[in-house]
Amino acid sequence: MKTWLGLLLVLSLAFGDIACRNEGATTAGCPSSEPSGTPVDTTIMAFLSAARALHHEADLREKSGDPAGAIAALERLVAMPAPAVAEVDEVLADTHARLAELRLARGDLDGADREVQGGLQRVAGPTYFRGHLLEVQGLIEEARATAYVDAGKREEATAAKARAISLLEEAVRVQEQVIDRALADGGRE
Amino acid sequence: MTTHGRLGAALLTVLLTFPLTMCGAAAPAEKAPPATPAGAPAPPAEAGPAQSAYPQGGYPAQPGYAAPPPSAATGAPDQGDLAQRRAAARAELQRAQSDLEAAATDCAAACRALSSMERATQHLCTLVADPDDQKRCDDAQHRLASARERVRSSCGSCP
Repeated sequence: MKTWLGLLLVLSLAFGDIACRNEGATTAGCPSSEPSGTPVDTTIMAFLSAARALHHEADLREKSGDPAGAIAALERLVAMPAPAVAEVDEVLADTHARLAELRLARGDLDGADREVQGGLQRVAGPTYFRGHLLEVQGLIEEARATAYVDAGKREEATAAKARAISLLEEAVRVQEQVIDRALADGGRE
Repeated sequence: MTTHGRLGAALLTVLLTFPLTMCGAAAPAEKAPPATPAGAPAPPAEAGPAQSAYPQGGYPAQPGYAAPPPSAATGAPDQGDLAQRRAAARAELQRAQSDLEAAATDCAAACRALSSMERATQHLCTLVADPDDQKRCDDAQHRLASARERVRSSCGSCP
């Protein structure tokens, strides 16, 4: 979670601080002082700032043993109007993944699965976020298999386990592609 | 050349070029003969353009004095050449910095993906119940080992 919070910081700096400083002595482009500045940047900055705050709140609530409070904080984030840019989609996909993990930990398998589906709608192709969602979905199916075994439902358990293995395999393949792409330019030097 | 190598080379070029330029600027001020006879004040209208025309040194043509030798003869690059070299060095430095930053970002992404891959493989292998599952586990572990080695060789250790 810290990694993408770092991304938020970088994006905030990129959209905000640099944009303001590039204007020299003027404050043009600064969202707080230039209402007629680029609206997309302002909206993105506002969203990312809210996302950072709400994830921080969720961190605090989790640490204080309040997973329901953490879920509530993150639900407020996914309910916010979101600018249609890739960075925001990735933040939301990761938020859905975190919500899925929180719900899974509470035994809410169907709720966790809905979160994963919501996240997968935000990201396509071989990205870390998609791979992470598939990984979490694999864990959900793994938990479902265990629940079926406990309930004496062997066939359902076998099917859930097969889905878990397939999803985890897919997660491995996606992350493998992410690594390949990330390091693909290593040979250009 | 590696990114670090390019960055180092660009830095070296910049460091070498800037002092050279500064020397070039200082030398004429010491060696240039007076434009007017001693004691006679130089007309301001002439002094201004002469300075602006040679902002970084050089030998302005003066009546009664020989023209400065061509830079090739003295071994000193002319101002245009220096400016070009400075610009090229700056561009090279910027490229190297961008490469370095991109490499750091790429490694962070690769490490994050590797962590997810490790977790997924670990869970996958705990679910093994038959030979087919074992084969899939082995395949995932093989992919993980390859990815881990690739990340290690490109990025070193992950945080």
